[in-house]
This record gives sequence, structure tokens and C-alpha cells, in this order.
Amino acid sequence: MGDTDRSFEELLREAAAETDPWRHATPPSADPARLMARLTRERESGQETLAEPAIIRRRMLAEPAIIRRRMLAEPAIIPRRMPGRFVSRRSVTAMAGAFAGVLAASVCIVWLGRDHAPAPAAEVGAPTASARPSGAGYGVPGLLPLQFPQGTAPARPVLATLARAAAARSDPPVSAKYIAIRLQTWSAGPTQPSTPDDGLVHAIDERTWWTSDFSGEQIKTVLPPQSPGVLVASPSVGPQDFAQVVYGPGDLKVAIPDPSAQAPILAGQIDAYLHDAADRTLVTAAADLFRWHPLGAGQRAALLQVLHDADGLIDRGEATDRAGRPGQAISLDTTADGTSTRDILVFDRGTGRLLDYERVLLSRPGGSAPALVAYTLYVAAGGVDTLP
Amino acid sequence: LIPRDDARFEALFKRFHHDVFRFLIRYTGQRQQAEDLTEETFLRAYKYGGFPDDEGDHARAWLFKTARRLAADAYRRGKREAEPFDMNDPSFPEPVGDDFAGRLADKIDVRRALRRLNPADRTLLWAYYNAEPIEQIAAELGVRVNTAHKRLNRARLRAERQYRRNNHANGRLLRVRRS
Repeated sequence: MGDTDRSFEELLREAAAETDPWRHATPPSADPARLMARLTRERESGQETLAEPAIIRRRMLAEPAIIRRRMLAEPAIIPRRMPGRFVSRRSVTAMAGAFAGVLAASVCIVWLGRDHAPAPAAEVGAPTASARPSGAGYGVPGLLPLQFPQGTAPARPVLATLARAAAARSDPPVSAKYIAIRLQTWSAGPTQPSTPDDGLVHAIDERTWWTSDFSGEQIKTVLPPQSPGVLVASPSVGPQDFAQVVYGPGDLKVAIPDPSAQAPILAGQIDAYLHDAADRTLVTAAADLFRWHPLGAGQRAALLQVLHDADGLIDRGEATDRAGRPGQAISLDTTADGTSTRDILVFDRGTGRLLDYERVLLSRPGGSAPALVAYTLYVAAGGVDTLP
Repeated sequence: LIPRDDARFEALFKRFHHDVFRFLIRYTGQRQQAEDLTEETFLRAYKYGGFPDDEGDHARAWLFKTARRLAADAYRRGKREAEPFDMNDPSFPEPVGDDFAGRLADKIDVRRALRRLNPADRTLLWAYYNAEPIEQIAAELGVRVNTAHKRLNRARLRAERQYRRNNHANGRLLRVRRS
């Protein structure tokens, strides 16, 4: 046996000291002359504004004049970032028309399928949410009604059932060139594209297409406004403004690019993903996975198994999401800096797919609570071979 | 915000250039790439326009966030094949004698574990074990000190897991004492 008396800590300290590239590197000269010369060259050649994609993207989002945002009625073309490539008005109209039609159809189906009885009160045992926090210039949707069967039961049994249901499915894998995800989102505070400051609820329809080199396209449409306290998803009516952003290779930050269908491996991937940002939780990681991937049956089963193995998840019973779809709700409460939040997931009981993710503020110093912070409805996920 | 003026930017560059380069050479393991990314980071800082006049805290956080993103992008785009350091050339354990081969193998295994970590973990461990204050590490990560401690512990655990895996594969097992 090797040196059994030495602790791993000592070995690691020694290895880190010996291998640290900084210890063996001569620092470069901190002379800004080279950088300033490059800046001058760029300025003179007019390249400065086209220096790198992040700058372009930020400007697109910041300046309405440059952002590719047009009323469909305008006789305009939508320029793409790459010089020489254009999308004709006809194709944009066709795309938007198809999209509006699909959305209208789905909303109609949802509307017809849901119970038109008055919306139930906020969750049992919890105070009613304020529909509009003081000082906010935007409306806040109501809290999703949740059940509390037998107090706060651990979510393990229901997650095990969901994992079995997902594993029993046989979804064909997505083999198309582009992954296509469609969501409906609402979040408190500023949004992209910006929504009117009129005290109403403005949800956003978000469609994303991405491919293996992490390039893609995203189209966001501000949906018709709804009254504060609303519990159902916003319908889509007629042509809308939309913001289209094209991402170059590597620009999209996809959560866990290749999620495993093996629970232990997926647990490691999620652990590494959580490590990248302090404000992520296991529940938000699960929501992010569905936000970027049309997870297959095996991947869903693995994810549900990972959730099953985690501590702190609570069974919230049967819930109906904002699109009127029944599902199984689970939640996780976290507290940081005196602010308590509850992350809620609503899963389809038959497939284990995520239907809805909600974040609720339970308490905060000096603010009204509970209040909805954000919701994401998972409308569709699949694959396409060509961009719209 | 301070206006974008060249003199102010030069002062910012001189103050944080070494820190940003140190972070990037640890993350990438390659001098040339670290220099390029350092230049790119400051180029973006210049274009960003200006920072609040708050003793450089905001500027430092912004610079490290940008450097981290640039380095992560470079890593994702397939530049991970580069050897971050020479794994097979550890310093020889002293003294030469009792179970020399076993101790040398342990050192190689720990290096291998370090190499298999993701660059963020490796950068964190290098900073910590080279006596950088945890407050400075936290500031560069843009997180609170407690969070930096948590990340450090996670990185250490991942290194240990890799090491154990190597040891089991080699048929040896080092006794691990937790500190």
C-alpha cells in the first residue's frame, strides 16, 4: 500500500502548490499601450461596434431602433445578424401566422377543457397574495391553488410514482437538427422584451430553437394583458409585436447540454450545474432542464429519481396549472438573506413531463408576501430540421 | 458612473490586470490563451463605458464575471484538450527510501484527480491552496464568503472522489483523513 499515513488534504495541498500555473508564470506587463492601440485601430477602421457578439446582442435588446422588433403590419424586412442574409416579410408573416394559429388553437383547447367555475381561493392555510406589490408598475398573477394533504408530506412517494410512469413510456428520441422549445413566462420586474408599465399582467410567449453548436434563435412575443390576480394563461389574439434574436455558435448557455438518462450521472451533472451559480436549487435545475431539452422518457425518469433522492421536497397534491392541465405538484422552500422562497413544480402524472414551474416569495424583509415572483408554462418541446 | 476616459481606464487596467490574468491562466492553463482573454476582458470593460466610483469593487466584480464567461466559452468551444499542467512530472517525494514508489504513485494520482476536475473547481483549489484569502476568492467569484467556502468544499470533495476512483482502479487505497 502507498503512503497510508498521509491525508488526502496534504496531498492535494502539495499537488495544488506544485501545479498552479500562476506560480510558474511570469506575469505579463501591465502596460495598457497595446490594448489602447488596438482600440484606436478598431475605432479608425469602424470595427468597434461590431467587435463581438455579446455587445451586439446587448445593443439589440437595449435599443428599440436596432432590435428586430416590428409590427407585422409594417412593410418591413427583418435583418439577421449575418450580413447578406435576410428574412423576407412573407416568411416572417407565414411563420408568425402559423405560430399565432397554433397558440390560438392551444389556448382554445385549454379554454374549452378547463372548468369555468370561479377561480378557487389561494392555497389553503396561506395568506392571500397581494396582486400588486406596493410600488410595482406591473400586475401580478394570483397564486396557484395548492393542496396540503396531511400537512407537509415528503414528496418521495409521488416522485417514485412519477419516475415509474416516465420510465414506462417509450418516447421516440428527438433526432431533428434543431431542438424547439416553447414556453409561456411571466416574471416580476423588468422583462425582455419590455412590457408596458400599466399595472396589468403581461406574460411572454417564448420560442427557442437551438442546435448542437449552441447557436439558434429565440422569438419572444408579449401576450395580451390580463388583470392582476389572474390564474389562467394569457390567450393570444391577432398579430403581436415580437422580438427575434439570433445567436451565433456558443452564444446560448444551455443548461446541462447532454443530460444523462442514468440517475447517478445526471445527479453529478446537476451538482456541477448548481455549482456554477449560488442561487440555483435542485428544483430550478429541473425547471432549467425542461426549459432547454425535450427530455426523453429515460431522462425524465432519471431526473425524477434524482428529485426523489433529494431531501426537503414536499408533496403539494394535485394541482391545475395556468393552462388548465392537471398534474402533481411538489415544492421546495429555501431561505437566503432573510428572504424565503418556494419553488413549485407541476408534473404530468402520466408522462412525468414538467407542466409548470412557479416561484413564490414567502417572506421578505420590508415587503409584501406571499407573492408570485415568476412562472413558466412548458407549452411544447420537440425538434425541427429548419429554423422558422 | 464615471465617464469613459482613457486615463481612468488605464488606472483600472493597471490595478486589476494581474488579478484577471492570474485567474485566467489558472482557468485555461495556457499562457497565450490567458493573455488573449485578459485583453478581451479589458477591451469589453472599455466598451462597457464606466464603473461606479466605489473603490473598484464594482469594476472588479464586473471584470471577473466577464473573464469567467470568456474562459468558460473558450472551454466549451473545445479548447479543453490542452494539458493544464504536466501530470507526470511531480517533484520526487523526499526522502528516497521507504515505499518511494507508493508515495510517487499517490502524488501522480492526486495530480490526475486535480486534472480531471472542471476548470472552475481547479481554479478555486489552486487559489485556496496557494494561500489566497477566502475574502479575495469570494470577491473574484462575485459571491459571499460562505458561498465561496461551500464551493471550495464541493471542489475538494470532487477531487477526493476522483482520487478514490483512481486508487480503486489501481488497486490501492489511501487512508483519507478529513480535516
